[in-house]
Amino acid sequence: MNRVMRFLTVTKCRLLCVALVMAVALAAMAQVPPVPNPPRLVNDFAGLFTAAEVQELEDSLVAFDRRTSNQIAVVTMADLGGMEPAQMAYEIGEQWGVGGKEHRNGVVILVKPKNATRGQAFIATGYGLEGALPDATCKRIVERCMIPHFKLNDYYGGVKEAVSVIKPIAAGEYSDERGDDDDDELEVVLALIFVIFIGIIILAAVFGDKNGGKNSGTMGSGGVFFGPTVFGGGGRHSGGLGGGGGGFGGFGGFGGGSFGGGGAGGSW
Amino acid sequence: MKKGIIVLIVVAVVALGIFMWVKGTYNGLVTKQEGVELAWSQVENVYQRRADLVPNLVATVKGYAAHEKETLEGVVSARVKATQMSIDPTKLDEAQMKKFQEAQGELGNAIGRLLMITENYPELKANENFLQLQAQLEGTENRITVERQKFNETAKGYNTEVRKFPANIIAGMFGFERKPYFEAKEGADVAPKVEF
Repeated sequence: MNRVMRFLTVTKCRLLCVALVMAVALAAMAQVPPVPNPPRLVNDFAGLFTAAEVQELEDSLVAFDRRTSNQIAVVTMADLGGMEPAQMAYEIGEQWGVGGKEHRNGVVILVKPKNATRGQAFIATGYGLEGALPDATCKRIVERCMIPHFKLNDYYGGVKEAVSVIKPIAAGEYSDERGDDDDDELEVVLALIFVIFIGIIILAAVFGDKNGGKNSGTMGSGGVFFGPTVFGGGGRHSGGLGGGGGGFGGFGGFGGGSFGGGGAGGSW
Repeated sequence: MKKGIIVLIVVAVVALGIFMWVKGTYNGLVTKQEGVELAWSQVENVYQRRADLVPNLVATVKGYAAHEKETLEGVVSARVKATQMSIDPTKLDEAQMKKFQEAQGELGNAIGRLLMITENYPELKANENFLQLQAQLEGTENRITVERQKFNETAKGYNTEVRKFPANIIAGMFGFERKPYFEAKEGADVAPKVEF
């Protein structure tokens, strides 16, 4: 009896501990801004930049993403909701999926301006860029490129300088043009062709020559049937599909990158 | 005669059904278990990363504060203890997890004490090498937090699967055991704080 009671208490304690951890994690998540829709690389939630500045930075980051597949997301927030800047930057990177899935080459630049509380800046690196952008380098970028500008209320200047330093380093590590999207598209096309092909064979076998003319109908239904399954997997890339024909449209979407807590920051 | 065939077919179908179910459940559990083991190796990686920073840190601090022998030696011996622990992720259980956490927690505390005394050495604090190490240490602590969190999430997914009916029958038959969690701060994982 006693042992049962003890076992129960121990289990209860454990459960409580786990529940507490989960609760803390959940509370933390509640503060993390949701993925922007439509996806953008520059998210000036704190309103530190002018519209023209946002556009200029977004264009340059989108172009960089297209050219090298490295995704640099800039996020400004007036309040971190009690979270450490390191954790906030990590959660944004992880939850938004900044960077490619394969290379995990994302960077999150988080800026919390100086208001009632200290200013905070943090550069978080995805797993794939931890080698090229070690913590000490991130720290130096924050302290030498960003904070001096931020102290003068020149938030755009600081971010721009940091981006201009990070770009060549990241490009030195990964410089594929957005190729993985094309692979996905190819797979989708191949899958569709395969389904249509099978459909035709089945139809031909079942109906013989008489109903050959109805093949077009099958093609349609084959595509509809298979479409969601295939696109479900690569949904994040679907923006890329329009990119080819649509010219230099906006950002194709976050690639599902992953973060491990790398990076460094500073405050002023 | 006909009856016999029908019974045979039914038995065959049922047997096939059971086989498919066992196969599916078993393979699902194996995949989840592999996930837990992978998450564990990531945890060990980041702890190893911290341990690897220690010799450099000790050497740098020594250059400025050689007479803080006790604290310096404390870090070195805690590092030895922490790196001696090697855990086979397939046999990870509560007791081993506890030992691992204790050893790593000790190293964390020792590093915390070392960083605390560095506050008294302004020259050391201005040393470029030391600043770099400090940034690396902070980053490593962040990585530890992240990988522990990821491990707990993966272990939770696996544990839930192991305990759910009817998968628990398969789990019991083939010895899939519950994996332990990292428990929140027993002083171990709180990033070393500098107090004045």
